[in-house]
Amino acid sequence: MKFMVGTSALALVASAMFGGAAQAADQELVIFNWLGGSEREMIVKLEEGFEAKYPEIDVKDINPAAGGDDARGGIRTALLAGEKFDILINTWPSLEKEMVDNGLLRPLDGAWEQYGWSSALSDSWKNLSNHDGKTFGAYFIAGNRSGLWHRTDVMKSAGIESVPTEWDGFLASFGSLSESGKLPVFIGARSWAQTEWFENALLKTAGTDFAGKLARHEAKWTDEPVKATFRNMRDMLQANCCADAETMLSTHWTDAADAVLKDGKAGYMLIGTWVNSRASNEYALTPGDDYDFVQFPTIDPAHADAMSVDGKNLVVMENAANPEAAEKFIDYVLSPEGSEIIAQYGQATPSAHSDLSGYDPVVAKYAALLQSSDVFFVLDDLLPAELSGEFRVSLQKFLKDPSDATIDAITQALEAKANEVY
Amino acid sequence: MLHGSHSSSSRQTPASPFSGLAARLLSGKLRKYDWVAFALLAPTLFFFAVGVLYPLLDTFRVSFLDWTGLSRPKPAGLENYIKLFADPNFHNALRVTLTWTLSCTFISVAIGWSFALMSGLAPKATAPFRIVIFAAYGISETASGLMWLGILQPEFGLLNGVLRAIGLENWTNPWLGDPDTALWGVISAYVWTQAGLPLLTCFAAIQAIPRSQIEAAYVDGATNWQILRYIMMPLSLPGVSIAIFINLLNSLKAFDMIQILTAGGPIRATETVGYFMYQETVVYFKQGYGAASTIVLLLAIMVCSLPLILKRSSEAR
Repeated sequence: MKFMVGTSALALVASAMFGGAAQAADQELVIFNWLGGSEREMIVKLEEGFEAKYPEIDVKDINPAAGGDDARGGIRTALLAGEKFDILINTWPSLEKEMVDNGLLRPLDGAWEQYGWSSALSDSWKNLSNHDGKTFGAYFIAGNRSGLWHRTDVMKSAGIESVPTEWDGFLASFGSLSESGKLPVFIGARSWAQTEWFENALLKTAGTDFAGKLARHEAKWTDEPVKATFRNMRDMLQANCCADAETMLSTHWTDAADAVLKDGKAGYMLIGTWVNSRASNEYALTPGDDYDFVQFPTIDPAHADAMSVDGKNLVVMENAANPEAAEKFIDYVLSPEGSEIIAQYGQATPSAHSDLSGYDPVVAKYAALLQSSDVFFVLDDLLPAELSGEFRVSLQKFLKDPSDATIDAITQALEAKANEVY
Repeated sequence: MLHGSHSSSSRQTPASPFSGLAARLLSGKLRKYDWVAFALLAPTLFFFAVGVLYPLLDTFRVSFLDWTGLSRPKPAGLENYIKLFADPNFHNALRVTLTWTLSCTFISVAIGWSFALMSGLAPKATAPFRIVIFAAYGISETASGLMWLGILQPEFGLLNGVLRAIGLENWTNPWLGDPDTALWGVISAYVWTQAGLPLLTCFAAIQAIPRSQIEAAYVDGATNWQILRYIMMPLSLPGVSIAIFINLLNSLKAFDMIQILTAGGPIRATETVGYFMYQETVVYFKQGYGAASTIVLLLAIMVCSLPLILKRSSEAR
């Protein structure tokens, strides 16, 4: 009897072990997930949803030690060390280009056709990952980098009923804001946030085609549209938009956000949509009621719908062990189920499968714009890192002295650096 | 004469059984028990080779490459070095480094030495002050940097707040946003963290002065100033030289404070060679170019270190 009980117990254990193994995933998909915080949780949730839909595929999520502000170092280190993974989450087009140039990424054109991703992503989103005629990535998170953020009560107290959407009206509103005791615009130019102003002014002055040429160095930094953009920015400075240059140069974007959205000491700031969660979570403001955004004002009506965006895409490694599973994962992320998970985390997706009713009014507003505008990826991230450094410093020089001589000097310096790095 | 020679030789340390090891190794005439010396040295040599020598030699190798980390490394010959010395941003970094290093070292040592001399006259009464000043040396540069960021902030900073409170509104300034004042703002913050070490080394040197010398000076009617000027100042110079050496090296490799307060800006006003190296290697991914600037920084550190190392070596002999 004892023998029988023992045998039965062993059989149960064996059944649990080997029976389970027969139903377990027989494929593995490895995702290099360097994101942190709620974005990381969102990816894990997407992975869980994917595993539920495809039980034969087990997702392994690897997270490098070096995340934070700039995870490119961690990604490079992992690649140099021979780390093998199928999917990489990327947010730097210049890094993507470098990986394409070095044969590290797999084109996705076949999968794009097979899964019909064009129904989810517009051509302008597809083109953001186009290198030499091939598509290497699919965007699944996107942000608006053209939003002029403001408090509604500040605008009302200055007598501004609706925030101007045209350049001249925008400049004219500075007087009303100044009279109400507010600094019209707060530019935090300590590090990189000054580039947002140039990029948006460039898009609204010269359009996305010219900006694309400039990013690829098919247009010169000394070309007239670049100088015209600087002159438009000078008009803004001369309209007494801002604090003195030294204050701007010592102010981080977070300080500008505090001044504009938290304390209501200044009128507008231009920054990415991540400020939305800062305003609602840290400042306890209600989106749409307490604060809102309008798109950067139109300068040339021909480029009224130009929009600067940032985003994250999924790229598949050339040496991926399981490229088919990687493509299935991308398809899942772009699907209505994937879009719903992304919306649960308050992120906007460029996928047309997203349901905008799930968003707060501010996110819903820019999510709709992402699908209807002529989008252009944020220029500073498109530039080779070294040129980006020169770009940031040049704009600091311009804010310090916006004269014609400075415009000539910095455009020449940028062109010289571009000649060196392309 | 004979007596003197005898006296001198009698003070010498007895020869170690392993003295002349290097010479015997080079000449191939090792003794039977020399392997014990190698066995004892082996762990240190291993960690030195893995942790210092290999990275150093590899950095030197990479400095002759054109390599982004993802691309296939291409030989660049001396191009990185030629480009480096023609790069106006590197020239700017050299200028900033010179001002930064000399100012940080001079001011830190001057403050530390001055406090040490004052403490030498009243060691017990000044003990709390020494502890407070040295405590700043123990705070991480990152924490100090964040504190100084709060002090030098344009709108809500403590410094501008105090100036406004005492009616000096016109003196307020965005200290870290003005290219003319940013470097001095960062130097002030850095000196605050570094002045403790010179105080410690100089005070230790003063404490080592035989009491009999100071007492004899008092008996001879010397004033406090004369004791300070003619006994403590010259006899504390060994402590000062160590402080200069350490502060010079620390300031040459300083990074955290600059990163937190200004990130090299505004308009590269605070970009030292160390920060330039970080930018080129970690931010711009120009591994070869960054390695070349690392080698130049290393040479600068070696040039600064050499006199003291040679002095210490000759004293050891």
